[in-house]
Amino acid sequence: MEGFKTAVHNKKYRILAVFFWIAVWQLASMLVNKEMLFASPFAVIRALAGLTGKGVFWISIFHSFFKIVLGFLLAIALGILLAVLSYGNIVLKEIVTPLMKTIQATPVASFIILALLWVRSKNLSILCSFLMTLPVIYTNVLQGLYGTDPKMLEMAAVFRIRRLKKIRYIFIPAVMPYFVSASTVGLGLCWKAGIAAEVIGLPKFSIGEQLYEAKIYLMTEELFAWTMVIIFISVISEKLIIRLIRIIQEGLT
Amino acid sequence: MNLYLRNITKQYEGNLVLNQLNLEFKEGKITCIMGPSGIGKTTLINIIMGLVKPDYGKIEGTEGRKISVVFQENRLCEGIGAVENVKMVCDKKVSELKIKQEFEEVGLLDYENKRTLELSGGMRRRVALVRAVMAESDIIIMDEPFKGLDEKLKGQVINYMKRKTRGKTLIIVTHNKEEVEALSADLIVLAPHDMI
Repeated sequence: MEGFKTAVHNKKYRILAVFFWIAVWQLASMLVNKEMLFASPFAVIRALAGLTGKGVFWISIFHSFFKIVLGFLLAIALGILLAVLSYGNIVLKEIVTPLMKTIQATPVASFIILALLWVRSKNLSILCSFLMTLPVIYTNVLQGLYGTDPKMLEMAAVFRIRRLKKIRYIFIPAVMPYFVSASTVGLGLCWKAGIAAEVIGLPKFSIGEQLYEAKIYLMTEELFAWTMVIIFISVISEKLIIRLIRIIQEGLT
Repeated sequence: MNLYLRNITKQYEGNLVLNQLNLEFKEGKITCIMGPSGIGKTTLINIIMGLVKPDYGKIEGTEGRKISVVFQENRLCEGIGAVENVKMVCDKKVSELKIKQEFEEVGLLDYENKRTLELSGGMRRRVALVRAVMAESDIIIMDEPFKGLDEKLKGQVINYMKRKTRGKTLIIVTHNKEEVEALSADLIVLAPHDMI
C-alpha cells in the first residue's frame, strides 16, 4: 500500500513537472513574441494536429522508424556477436577494441558526410544509427561477460553444466543489466544520429526531410512539432525495446 | 578406487599453504577434514576438484570420475527456482517430481518453486545439498555443508545424506566433531605442522 501511494505521488509530481515546463515554454514564447522564432505550445499543437492529417506525416514516421530501428537491431546483433567472440579470443578482442573506440570517438557529422560517399542517402540513417550503437553494445556486453561471477563458472565446471545451460543461467543474467543500459543509451543515440543523417542526406519521405523543409520555409511551429514527434517516438521505442528485452529474458530464464 | 593425494604442495604469493601433503580417501566412505581456519582446507578441496592446480604433487583416483560439490557459499543461480537449480546439474531422466520429493526429505516442501533469491540462508544451503546429492557423481565434496542449519534440521539432513550417498566417496570439511560422529566418518585433521 505504501509503495502504491509513493507511485501515485511520483506520477502526480511527474505530471506537474510536465505542466510546469509547458508553462515555462509558453512564457518564453510570450517574451520573445515572435512565433517564427519561438513557437508557443498552442501553435505547436495546432501544427501537430495539421500534420497528423497528412499522409506524408505517417509515411515519413514509418520510413524513419523502420530504418533507425533496423540500424539499431543490426548493431545489437553484431555487437553481441563480436563481444562474445572477443570474450573467447583475446587476439580478436585486441583487434576489435581499437576499432570500437575509434567509432565511438568519431563525430556523428564526420560519419554522415563520409557515409554519403559510400551509401545512398536513403540508407544513410541505417548506417549511422548502426555505427552509433555498435560500440555501445559491444563494450557493455563484453564488460558484462567479464563481470560474470568466476565462482559460478567454477560451479558450472565442477558440475559439468552444458554450454547452453551455462549461457542461459550464468552468462545471460550477468550480461543483462549491462545490455539493457547499453540498449537504452544506444537507442537514444540512434535517433539523434539517424535524424541528423536524414537532415543532411535528405532521403525522400523521412522525418529529417520534413524537419529540413520546415526549417527552410521558416515553419517554426512545424519544426517544433516534428521535434516533439521525434522525442515521443524515441521514448516509445525505448520502452518497447526494453519490454521486448525483458520478455526475451523471462523466456530464457 | 581410493583417492590419493601425493606430496601436494601449494603456495600463494610466497605463503606456503599446503606442504607435501599425503592423504588417502577411501572409496565409498565418508571422510571429514578438520583443522583451524586458514590451514588450507578449502585449497585442498579446490585442488581435488581441479579448480586449483598444485605447485607440486599429484592426485590419483579422480580421472574419469564425476565430482559434485556443496560450496561454502552455495553458488546457486539466484534468479531461478530451487528445482531449476537442481535440474540444471541432473541427468535428463530426473523428473521435477523426483526433485520435489528430495526437497521434501530435507524439509523444503512448498518452497521448491520460489526463486533461490527469496529463500533464507538455511533453505539455500539445503538446495545446494540436494543439488550435490542429485547430480550424477562418484565423489561428493562438501565445504561446511551444515552451516546455518539448526540442530533438528542438521539431523534430518545428515540422515538424508547418509541414505542418498551410499557407495559414493564423500569428502566433508567441517569444524564440528559432533558432525563427524553423526556421519560415522573417517577423520583427517590438518595440523599446523603441514604448513611452514
